Amino acid sequence: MSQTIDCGKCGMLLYFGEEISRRLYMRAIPDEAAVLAAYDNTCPRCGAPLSTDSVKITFKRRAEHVA
Amino acid sequence: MATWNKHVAIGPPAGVGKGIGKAMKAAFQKDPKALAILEDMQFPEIEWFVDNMFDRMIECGIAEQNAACVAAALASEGFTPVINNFLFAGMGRAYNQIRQSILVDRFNVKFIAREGVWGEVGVSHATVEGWGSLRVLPNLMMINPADAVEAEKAATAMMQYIGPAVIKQEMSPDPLTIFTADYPFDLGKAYSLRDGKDATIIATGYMVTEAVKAVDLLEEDGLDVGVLNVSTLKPIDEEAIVAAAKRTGAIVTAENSSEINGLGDAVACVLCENLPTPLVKVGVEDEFGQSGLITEEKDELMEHFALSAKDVADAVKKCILKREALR
Repeated sequence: MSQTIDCGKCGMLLYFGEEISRRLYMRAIPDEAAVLAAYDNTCPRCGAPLSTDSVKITFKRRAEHVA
Repeated sequence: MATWNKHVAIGPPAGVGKGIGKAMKAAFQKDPKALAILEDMQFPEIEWFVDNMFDRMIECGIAEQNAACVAAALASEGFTPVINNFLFAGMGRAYNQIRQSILVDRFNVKFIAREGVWGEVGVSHATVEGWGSLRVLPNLMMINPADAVEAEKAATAMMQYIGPAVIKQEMSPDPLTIFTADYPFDLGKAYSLRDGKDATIIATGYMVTEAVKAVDLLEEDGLDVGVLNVSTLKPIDEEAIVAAAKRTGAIVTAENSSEINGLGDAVACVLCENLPTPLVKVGVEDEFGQSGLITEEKDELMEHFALSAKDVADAVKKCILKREALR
């Protein structure tokens, strides 16, 4: 299962990888806000401000699991 | 002659390495935290880097596992290390270190990895199985550009992206120029060069060039065949693949690497789960790479591994027959 985060304005892929909340312990990335903070909350391609409300978050999973 | 979609203009060959080198120069000028991690291999545009970025190059020698750990440590402190090497060495020898120290924590390390059938460098260096071995690793973005234009744009996007990623610099003849300068490259998105009605060739890297040549061969037989360029193998653009299968009902994949766990298998998985469609793979079957004679008159490796435009065209005809047999 994986997760992607795209800029809500230009569609740039900002995150691809494991579903962030699936790691039970020693989570390297605590939440989506931390991903956006690494970009200084600004899309590097279009300059749009990034927030968890403005980006498109997609999960790819076959079954529902306990997060 | 075939017609092409917007942003496609077939032109003379140009080296993918030049595109990656241009992008690296620009990225290093823009990001003071970008660092070149060397493993006794030349970095793209090495002369410029020696003249301008000498203090941002770290030579780790032929010690790839150590270099991967050095890169992980630097990334944990906010740097953007870039490792350039043959795939079998930079990533193959350091597979475990990359998994444990870079990918599990999703550190922002970039790889430029050379692999492919061509190169006259023998069975040790002309590996074809490394690309597929990476696809199973979570958190790793995988990019394989079709030409020099896309290589520059893809490497630029890779450096803007925060997270582990690899761009493949294929060992192949220089690909044709496929894209115009204003081509809008997007990480994770496939691009349709032409739509076609009778079949779709889904190609990646150098094999986009052979797919483009195959379109002309097939047109002589009255077949209207599309070409979909899948430059990001992971995450793969499922939507574009399913749309192509819906449109033509016959899919041929083409890649300059092992067809096991590469593009062909990835496309097959997408189609089996979403829209079962007849498929024929063109790539290296279950065997190792090797040296071969390459002259202006003859490309022994292209013949040996059956990767020419004619092989792609034959695969398309075979796939159309498979589709018709099912109707």
